Amino acid sequence: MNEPEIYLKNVTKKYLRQPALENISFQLKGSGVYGVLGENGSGKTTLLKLIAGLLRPSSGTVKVMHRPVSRLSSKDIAYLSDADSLYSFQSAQQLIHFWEKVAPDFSKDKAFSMIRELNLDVNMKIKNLSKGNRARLKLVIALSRQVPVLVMDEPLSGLDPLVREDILKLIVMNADVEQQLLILSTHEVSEVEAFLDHVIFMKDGKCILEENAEVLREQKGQSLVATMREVLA
Amino acid sequence: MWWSLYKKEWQESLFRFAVSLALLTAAYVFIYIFMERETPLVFAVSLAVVFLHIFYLFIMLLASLIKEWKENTSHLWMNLPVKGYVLLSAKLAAAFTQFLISISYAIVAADLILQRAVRMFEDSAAEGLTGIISMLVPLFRELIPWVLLAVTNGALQLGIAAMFIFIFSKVVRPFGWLAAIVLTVLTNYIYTWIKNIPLIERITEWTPLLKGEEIQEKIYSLYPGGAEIMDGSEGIVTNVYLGQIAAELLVLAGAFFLISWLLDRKAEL
Amino acid sequence: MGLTFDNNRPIYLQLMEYLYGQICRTDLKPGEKLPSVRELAVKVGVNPNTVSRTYMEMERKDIVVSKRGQGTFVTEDITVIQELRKKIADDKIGDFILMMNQIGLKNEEILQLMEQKMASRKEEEE
Repeated sequence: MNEPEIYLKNVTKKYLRQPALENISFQLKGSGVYGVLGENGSGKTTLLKLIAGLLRPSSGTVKVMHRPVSRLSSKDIAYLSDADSLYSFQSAQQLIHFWEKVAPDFSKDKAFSMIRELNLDVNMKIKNLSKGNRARLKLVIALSRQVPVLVMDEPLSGLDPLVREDILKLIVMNADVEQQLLILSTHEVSEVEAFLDHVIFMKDGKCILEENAEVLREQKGQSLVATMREVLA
Repeated sequence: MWWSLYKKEWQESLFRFAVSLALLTAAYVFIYIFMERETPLVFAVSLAVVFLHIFYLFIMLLASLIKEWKENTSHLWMNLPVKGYVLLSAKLAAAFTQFLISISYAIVAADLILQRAVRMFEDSAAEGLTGIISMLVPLFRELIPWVLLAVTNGALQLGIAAMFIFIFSKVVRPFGWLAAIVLTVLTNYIYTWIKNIPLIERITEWTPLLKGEEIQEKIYSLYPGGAEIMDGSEGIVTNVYLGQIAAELLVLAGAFFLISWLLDRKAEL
Repeated sequence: MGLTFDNNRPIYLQLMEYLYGQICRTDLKPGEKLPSVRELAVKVGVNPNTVSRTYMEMERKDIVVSKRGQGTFVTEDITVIQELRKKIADDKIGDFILMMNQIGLKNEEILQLMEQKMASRKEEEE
């Protein structure tokens, strides 16, 4: 796998006239866990969709693996939506076989081993699974893809604390963070504090701070939660 | 890869397909039973059946795409590491298979209905008309491939139009769908105009498959009175050329790849 | 997840202190294999990259050695471990004396207090 890279230069995204993102530039290079942190409505989702090639910037450039992004970037990017995005008529088994056929980078073995660990019923239709299990299954699909870039939009939001902990564990266990670049958004910093290598703070569609998490702790002598409170105030 | 997508589209659309078959069955039963009353409703229902088939791909593809977005599965669909033409052709093929099944069923039903109609009229028809009535079934059977061809062509055009309108609505927001409808109508208008340019006509008129005059002859031989009725309307008798069909398919394929390109490069979630 | 971190300080440093403790106590014996990066990450609830960084720092200080394809091992050189123990003790005692001085205790008083404390703890144990 090539070294993962995400590159944004003067990226602005407007919906009608309303700007959702304003003049964002940064470059993320190398594997690791990158957290996009900010309140709801700060532009996190828009940013991640732009990176995943599912939106076009109104101006500026978004490149992943040195190529401008489009829907076709999905061969390098696994995107985990915050929505219930699975086909409800499939079973977990059908879902995994579907992905195995459709995505050459998909590891069926990895998917099934995660499923076994989660004790999911592979024959049950997805629409009959609990919300937590649907979230887990969605994650299994994203984590089974051996692609350089993983984009996860609010993987923890709207779930019970226990499920959230479980999901974090699943990500840590199965994301190949020594090779993959995992970028995830959340507004609950405390929960992911210890998992982040790198943070990107967002406010009102702007990127206000982008730094290595340990460097921030060292420099400021305070937690990311405290830093977030400081910079978002 | 493609088969998995095709299978998924089948699974997704199965319910819609079943509903449409059930509705059609009700329609056929209705026509079969009520045709002797000669109510205008029978005629209306028959017309609806024909229209349903012409619009079949339009409705089904639009429904499939709208559902993909409404249920947020588009987040996954758009992220499939597969080229746009593969995604869209799987949808088109699934709907087209269902269309073929549905229209085959319609032809069988029409044949049965026609046979019953002929039996009914044979008893009551005036002397001079028995000839024409007795030839209705064989004529229907001979002409049905051409009707099928025309309906399929129309259905495909509308199906491609549905995909264009929907995908364009994800390219230009808001009101992309409106712009797409206008563009579709405009394109169709221009296309018809181009088709009728004598030079283009000459290029596409090769390998005639169906000769309009032969059909006419056949009708006249069975019903000599027809020649007088049709007199002076020679202009409407046309031929169907393989070249025309090829041109038609080529244009549809071009439009299809344009839509795939839009999906890959321009469409937004 | 086993360990609570003080999020105000770099996590890799805290993880290193935790592992040094284990090594000095010989919970992790000389030559023993450390858990894999991923195992430890999940166990203590941090990012695997943080564990990697911790291992790298420890390797730089010769406390552990990584063998290609086999994993990371505690050094077999006992003198290194002894020195580590000495250094940590030295640092901590230095900090401790500084703190005691800051609250106005003289060195002799500190020693006296220490002896008293040690004696009472010994009694408790018996």
